Amino acid sequence: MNPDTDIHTEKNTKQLYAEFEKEAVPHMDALYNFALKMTGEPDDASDLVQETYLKAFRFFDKFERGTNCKAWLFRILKNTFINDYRKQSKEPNKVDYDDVQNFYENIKSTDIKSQHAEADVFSNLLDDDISTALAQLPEDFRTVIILSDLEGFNYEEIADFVDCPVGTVRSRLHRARKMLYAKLYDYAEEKGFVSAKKNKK
Amino acid sequence: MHIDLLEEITALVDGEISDAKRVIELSDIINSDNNLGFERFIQSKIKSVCSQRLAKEKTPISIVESIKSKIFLL
Repeated sequence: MNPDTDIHTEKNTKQLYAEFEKEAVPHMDALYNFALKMTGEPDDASDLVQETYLKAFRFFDKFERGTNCKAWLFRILKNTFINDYRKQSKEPNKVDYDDVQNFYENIKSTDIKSQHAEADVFSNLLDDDISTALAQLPEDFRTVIILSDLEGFNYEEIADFVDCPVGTVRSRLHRARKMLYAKLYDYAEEKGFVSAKKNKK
Repeated sequence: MHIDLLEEITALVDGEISDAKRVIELSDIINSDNNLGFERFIQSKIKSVCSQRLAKEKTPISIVESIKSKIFLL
């Protein structure tokens, strides 16, 4: 064993760790938050983030410095999620977008007239209602909303993450927000914050 | 309404249209049509509801510590 090599390796590892701590560790909450919203289980989210960070450190020497570390970590998390954590049985019931569109068209005609009156309808809902509504969206739609509206990724970064064209991201976001709006509107109706005159279909 | 135009409104709300001329053009079209105005309202509303009211959970300290100690052992 060559002591010089050992010192050199130890120095490199320390440097790598310091860089990792500076570049990757600050994004841990964002990854945990995303993992929690995708798995719905704190234990699964913790395991997923842990595996992601261990993999990321193993391959950190391959990470191109100066590029988007957060996006790189999210890609590792996605692959880990797809391989190990995605449980089809947990997928919410499929949402029929035509139903949502019909509902949306129905409320639109009345809401246009009272837009300002109903603008703050959702402020009466609990934050938990909003999280629950989001959790009920199909995975593809939930993913783009979290990445765009919660994590602030742009379309190109989201497209890279979900592995589809930018146009598909735009389309999914458009639909996802309408689906979420319809769900929140349902909650608001159930709780009496809006009149129940607007029915689906 | 043409779906492309509706989806373009989503892109406008997200600041994803880089052509300044198109942004002005689109804003004029939206301002002159209540239905399109409603589309923009919904997209912006849900975007702000999500960004402001969805809980941002912190990684439990025990997990942060566990990850750091495991990385040190690698």
